[in-house]
Amino acid sequence: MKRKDKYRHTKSLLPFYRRDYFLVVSTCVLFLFGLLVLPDANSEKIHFLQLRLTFFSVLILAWAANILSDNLKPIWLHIIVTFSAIAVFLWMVFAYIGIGVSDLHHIFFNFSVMKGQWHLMLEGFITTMELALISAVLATMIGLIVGVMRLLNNKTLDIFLKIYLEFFRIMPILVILIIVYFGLPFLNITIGPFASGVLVLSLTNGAYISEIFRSGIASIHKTQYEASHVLGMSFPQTMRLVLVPQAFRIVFPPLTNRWIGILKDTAVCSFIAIRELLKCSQIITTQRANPTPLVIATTIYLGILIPLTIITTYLERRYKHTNK
Amino acid sequence: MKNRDDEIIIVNNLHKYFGKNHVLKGINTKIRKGEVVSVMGPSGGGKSTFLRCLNRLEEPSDGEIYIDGKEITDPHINLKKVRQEIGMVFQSYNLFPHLTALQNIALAPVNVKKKNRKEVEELGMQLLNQVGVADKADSYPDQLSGGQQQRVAIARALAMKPKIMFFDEPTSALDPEMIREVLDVMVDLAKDGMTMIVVSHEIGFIREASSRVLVLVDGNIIEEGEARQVFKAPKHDRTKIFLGKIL
Repeated sequence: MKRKDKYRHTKSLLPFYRRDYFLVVSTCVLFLFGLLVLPDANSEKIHFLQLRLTFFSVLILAWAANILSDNLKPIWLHIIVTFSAIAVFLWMVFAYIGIGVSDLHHIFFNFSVMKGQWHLMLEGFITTMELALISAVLATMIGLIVGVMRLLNNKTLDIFLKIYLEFFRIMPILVILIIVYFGLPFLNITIGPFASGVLVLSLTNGAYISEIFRSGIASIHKTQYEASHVLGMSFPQTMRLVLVPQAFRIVFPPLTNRWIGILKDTAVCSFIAIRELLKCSQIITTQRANPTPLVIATTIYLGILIPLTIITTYLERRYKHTNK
Repeated sequence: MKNRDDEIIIVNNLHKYFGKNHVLKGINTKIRKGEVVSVMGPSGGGKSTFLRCLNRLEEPSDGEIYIDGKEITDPHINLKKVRQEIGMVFQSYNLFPHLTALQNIALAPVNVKKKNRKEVEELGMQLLNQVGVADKADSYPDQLSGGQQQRVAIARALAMKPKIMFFDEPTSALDPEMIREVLDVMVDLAKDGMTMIVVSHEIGFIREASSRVLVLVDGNIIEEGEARQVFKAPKHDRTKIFLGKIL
């Protein structure tokens, strides 16, 4: 009895749009609006079709947002609302824009176009991984060296390092890539496409990573320097044995994020004729006039990046635990 | 100047400024081998600064410091070599959090003195035994209590086989029940004949172990003498006021 009273009491405090009757009414209204606004898909001419669809979409979004933002509503209701909203959207796309499921299958999942082309995809995949791995290693080394040099607090050195950092952080990576690959040959400096890609990816990301290292090492308390100094350690020893190992734990989460960022950045290299994953899928797409290779490339990117992200999150949590 | 052979630390007219703040105003003292010198005084009196100047964690502004016959205020001196002779224990332990207790101890002897790792680890275990935390050899600092951490820190300093040990308020950050275990280790060290300078207000320890007390007030040594003497009959009024507050 008591419990029920309490329930009723809290319910009476709810604003109207959180109450159950509002849910029922709003769902009915939505349904009526659907009948009213959305015409028969088979009719010849529909006035303001896009406007109608947009209007109805907004209504559905508002309806779903209202329910999903209410933590008191049961989880099954949230799930039903989410899926029905998605279903309605899909239905609108299929019914009014005129793409059927079989068309979808034929356009985006047409694996027959891949016949004899898989080796090209594989080549692209390997190139992408090579680019990413080599650049990640180089960028981390550059970042570590530059980050440590920043900590020496040498004013002259700092000016040069700052110029490097700011240049590569401000410039869009594609612009740098094009300057290196298409611009430098005019100065009689010719660098191959793969080398240019690695160079630009590692220089750009090295700039970011050096900041990660610098702030990570700077965040270690100065008493750690003192403790190593009184044991007679030199500056390089202090760096190598005390500061960098500790900094690694602090910088690990942002560092892995950057590594993932490098893997994503490799796609830019398709612009300078490196046959990496994106470029290869583009080649097949153009040849066969079908976007299936792009879908496959997307799947491969997701297939690598999703596990990486999960691993990063896991490590992040683990390091957080051991560090404190 | 002719130095007596057993005077291991000689401080002449040591001054230290932090900006315009005159922290040490001409300290003169001599410490002989095997002496345990306690430095007392109100906070802000320059005790820690004095200690930190002796191994140049702080740069002295003026004056000379000789340690074991070498002038360490000489800008060309190999500071690393000098510091290897001086162990230091901090108020906040300052263990390396990414290394286990034993690794903390072994780090400097292996990398600075280039000693064999196995020998160093044996020595490390011996030292951990001596300070009573041998069972924690493979624990990380954050798994140890404050008292245990401080004892490991003492073992870490001892592993370098220093001639002198500095203690900068080694028990100030500890809970009362842990103070004793750290002080016991220090008393043992003193009895073994280690030259020690201890910044501390632990009256019990000072009475029991120290051969001499320096009272440092406003950057000057205002009182210097045997512990019993200073506690029983302080000469300076300022010392009386200070002792009245802590006794």
